[in-house]
Amino acid sequence: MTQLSPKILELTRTHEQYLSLMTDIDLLLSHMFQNTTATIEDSLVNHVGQETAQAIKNDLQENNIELSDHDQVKNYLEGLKESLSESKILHLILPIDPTFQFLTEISVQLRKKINPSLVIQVSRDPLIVGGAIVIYEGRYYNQSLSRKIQLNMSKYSKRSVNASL
Amino acid sequence: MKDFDFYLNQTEEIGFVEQIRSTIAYINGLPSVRPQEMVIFENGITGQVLSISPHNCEILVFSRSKVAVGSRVVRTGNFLEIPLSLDLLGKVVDPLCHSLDKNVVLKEGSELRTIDNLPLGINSRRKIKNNLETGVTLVDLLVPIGKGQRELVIGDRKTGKTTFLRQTVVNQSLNGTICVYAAIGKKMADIKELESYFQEHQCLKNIVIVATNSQDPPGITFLTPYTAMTIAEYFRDLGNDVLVVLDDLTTHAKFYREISLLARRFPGRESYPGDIFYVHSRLLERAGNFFIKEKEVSITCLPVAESLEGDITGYIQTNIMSITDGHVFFDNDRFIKGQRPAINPFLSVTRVGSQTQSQVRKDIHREIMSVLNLYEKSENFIHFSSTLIESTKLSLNTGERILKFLSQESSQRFPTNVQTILFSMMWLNYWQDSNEELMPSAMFKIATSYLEDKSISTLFDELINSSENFNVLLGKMEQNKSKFIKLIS
Repeated sequence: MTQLSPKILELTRTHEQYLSLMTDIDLLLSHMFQNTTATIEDSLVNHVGQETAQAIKNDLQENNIELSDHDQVKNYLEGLKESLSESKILHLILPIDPTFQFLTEISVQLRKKINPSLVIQVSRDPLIVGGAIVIYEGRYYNQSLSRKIQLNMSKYSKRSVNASL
Repeated sequence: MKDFDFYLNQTEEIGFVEQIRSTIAYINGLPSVRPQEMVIFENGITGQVLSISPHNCEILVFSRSKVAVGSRVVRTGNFLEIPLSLDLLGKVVDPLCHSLDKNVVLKEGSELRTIDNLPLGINSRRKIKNNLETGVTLVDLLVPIGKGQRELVIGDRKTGKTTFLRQTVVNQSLNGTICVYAAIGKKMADIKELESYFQEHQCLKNIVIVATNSQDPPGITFLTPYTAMTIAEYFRDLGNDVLVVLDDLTTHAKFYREISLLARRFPGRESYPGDIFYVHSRLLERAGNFFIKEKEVSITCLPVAESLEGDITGYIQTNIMSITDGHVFFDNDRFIKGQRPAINPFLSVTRVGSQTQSQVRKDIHREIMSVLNLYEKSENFIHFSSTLIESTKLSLNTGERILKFLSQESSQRFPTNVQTILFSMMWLNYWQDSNEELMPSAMFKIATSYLEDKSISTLFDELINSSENFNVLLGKMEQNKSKFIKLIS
């Protein structure tokens, strides 16, 4: 397993980013398998996004891995993929589409508090009206406004029934 | 059962389908889920937890409908429970106790019970003492079954196993016993036919049919005998004697094998999983003679096993043989010869049935077996085409008469006292040669008179009850010979 660098972690804040990085790694690995003679530099330029290419290049340099060393690069990519697959995913259901800034801020806070490699998967459900629903490691936390209204409604309806009796 | 959202808000746990393999789903999430717990998918499909690993949990899905990868799952916090009520009587239900007939709506169950219960312990059990009348002379006389006994019914396909079971169920339900018939993975047409058969005999009101057809998912089919046994336990606890028919356990084992192989359990002999014996023994252990609420009540169990070309040494067959208290073997050779029922008394066993028999019937059993034994041996001499001595001719003649006496049509049922008297009449040679042709029809006529005519039933019952053994009975019958001759004529 490879230690995830801050640059790589920055690229995997959201689930979409996470999936995109995983796809890029798969592409690089398959390209290396098909063209054993071609350098990884060529693949980084032609097959993956600029940000991903830069992050991987930096990571390889920091780990003192030569771009021409096929075996080491391959090991690094496989290790990276394995480390990424261990990332925990937090589902966040919101009533609105969040801004990128909001997502970045919430990701920073959650990574500090829960897990440094946490990935956020956001989905939109206008029916929850306000608040949010959080799903993490199989736990379901419904902090939505619709739920609160529902609970209050049932509480008041019980009270009114008791009063009428 | 409540819906998905209810359980989601109640348990505050959620899982996602990672992978689907036929009817096995692998779920990520649900941190507090327990083995055997019921889960519900977001499209309303239910399932049961098979096993839990650190990464995921394995769910047995109770539906043939597709469950999509990524769909949500919640735990219910409950084990698989079925609603039970008296309303089940006369109905055909699936293993989750939903009526198979869409026009029939079952009333809300008064009691919920888990289907995988522990069998009652030794303190609640009593010795098997009472006889279970099947109405089939050969079984009642030669392979008697006691109330609370587990007797395997084994034989090749199309040798009359189901016919015998139907006769027994009809006879018992008309006597007031509650009968639970588990049709495991049968054809829908067979299930319908079974229902109409019981309806024709006006005994469906005391019968519950738990059925799964061949189109049902393996998970549901696997549950069939468990549900049947749970229903039986419910009626037992209400103070009724119950008869459970499990038709058949070889099919059940095959479905369990399918589930286990899909779940990548290590296959054992004939690819069956290693715990197949445990699965069947735990199920059949729930039958027996019990002492509940100051009363003796029983669950008699008749599991069925299908053999291949008369081979009763198959894996599942021998497993169930060792679990049960005996077996009735339906012989294909006898079936081809035209013997009905095609039961082989020499290869059939009853371990506790004889303790439920009276001395008179024990004597009759001994006489029949010795004659039939001699008959089988003597029959071999016929092949040599040599002149037979008088004693061989006599044993052949007696054997043939006994076989004729034991032959019975599927629509006929004989009460045990009628069987005793009819055998005694034959033994005393009341059936003259001229009447012998008419013996089967006359026997049925006498059985009908016994059920309809009070004076005849009183005569038969008194004679049998006052006789300590077979010889005494024969003596008493000789004194009343005229009455019996009158009956024949």
